[in-house]
Amino acid sequence: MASASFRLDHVGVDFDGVEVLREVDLEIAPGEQVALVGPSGAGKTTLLRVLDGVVQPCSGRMLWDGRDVHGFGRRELRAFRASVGFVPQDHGLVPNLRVVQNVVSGKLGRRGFLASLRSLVWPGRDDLLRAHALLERVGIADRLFHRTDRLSGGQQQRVAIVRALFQEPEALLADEPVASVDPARARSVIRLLTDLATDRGLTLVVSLHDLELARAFLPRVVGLRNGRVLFDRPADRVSPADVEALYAFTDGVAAS
Amino acid sequence: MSTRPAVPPSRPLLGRRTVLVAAILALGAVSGLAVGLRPADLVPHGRGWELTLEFLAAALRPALDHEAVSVPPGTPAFPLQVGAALLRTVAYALAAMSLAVVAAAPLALLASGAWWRGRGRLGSGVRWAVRGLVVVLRSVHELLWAVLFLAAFGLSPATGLLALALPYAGTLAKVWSEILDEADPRPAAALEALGATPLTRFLFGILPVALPDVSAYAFYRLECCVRSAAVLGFFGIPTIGFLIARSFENLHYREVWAQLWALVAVVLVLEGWSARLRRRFVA
Repeated sequence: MASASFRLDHVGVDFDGVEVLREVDLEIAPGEQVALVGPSGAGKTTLLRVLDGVVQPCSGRMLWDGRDVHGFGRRELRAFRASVGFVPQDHGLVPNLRVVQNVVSGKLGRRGFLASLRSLVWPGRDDLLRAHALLERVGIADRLFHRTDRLSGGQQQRVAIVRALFQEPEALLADEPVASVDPARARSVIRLLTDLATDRGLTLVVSLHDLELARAFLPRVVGLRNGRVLFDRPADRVSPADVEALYAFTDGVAAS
Repeated sequence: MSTRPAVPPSRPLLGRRTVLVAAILALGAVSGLAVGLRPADLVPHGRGWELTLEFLAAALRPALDHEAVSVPPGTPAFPLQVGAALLRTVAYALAAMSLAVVAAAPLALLASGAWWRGRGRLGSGVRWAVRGLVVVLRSVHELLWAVLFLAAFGLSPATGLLALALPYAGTLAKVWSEILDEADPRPAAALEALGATPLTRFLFGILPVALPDVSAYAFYRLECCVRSAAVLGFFGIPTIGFLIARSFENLHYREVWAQLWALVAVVLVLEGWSARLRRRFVA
């Protein structure tokens, strides 16, 4: 399977006059696995949404496989979004649909209207087999026909991951996938994501607030603070000074 | 280091909101005076007491048979007559609601912001036009629609059905469009992010999320519609209200109470049924 490359040149994003990202330069090679770390409000989610094609940079350029996203028409934008899988922090699942329906909705970006309608009302054999195989891969194959809101939070997260894989993406983005799980579970979630990305040769970008976890599982760490890239290095070369700069406090208040 | 203020901090407990509420209550009292209400009018007086007591006493002894000494030949037994009228009442309500649901569904879509998201500027024009239509439909009460259709069609089933269906379609469309707009936007956002079109985003990300509330509201309106259908009987539509009006004119209060209790029973049964359906949809 192909994997995607991203390149950001001086990307800035502001929402209603508030600067969320400033002059972000970032290059992510196909198949690379990157952790995005930083305190709350650093701009991690916004950066992921830029990579996902949902937020357009207000300044600078964002290149996806060498093509400037800015010039994309509706159809190209859809194709771009369809080829990037995103696991939102809130999972973004429809609670009162079956697990299988949430999973096959991963293909909405690649199918026409009638095929989409059919796949959600009466999923075909191929869809069922693929959904089942992916759910089996993450350990919840027996939940295929359960109502999604009957699953635990951790299981719902895995459904969201499977929906992203069902897309047949070239890149997988996960926003704070361990924000509300205990440390042991957190490690297994990150390992699941890196294993899935490695198996399929996907580019992987995971945002985390826990720098230690990032260094332990991802080969490259990008530190983000106040919308700027503070450091960008291989995990084993992140220095104590980097850590200090990332989470520095002054008088109990994060420095601006 | 902090300094202690000389006066303890305070904020006024009687703020502008208190004044506003008082003003609205005062306006209510003034309105009562304006329509010529005297406090003494609020209790019955003279013969009124006797009639009131007679009427209330009848509640405990609802009629099981015709109260009139003689009824025209061929008149069905009283319980059968009431039962048939109740069935017709429910039938009118069900038929009118079916029409209302079919009409309200497209109106609700077109009046909601969720449907038009991501579809450019044309949407807001259509949306406001449809909302205007919906306001017209529901700002005219079903009894006024009945007057209108009586003039147009005379006493026909179409009069009763349309008089109910139009305002109910308006109310359904308004509330449904609000439910659609208040649905949790996160699933839809996730689908948009994976390349869904505005249409598939709506159908698979908004509609299923909103559906439990949409159907619960429809069931609630069905109960309301049974009551409205009953009231249309006063205009001659052959629902239970028609019998109630006739019995009332003949001062057959025990018949009136038998009909009222039967209507209450039907509404309660419907309510229990719709509550069970709602639980199944929502849970």
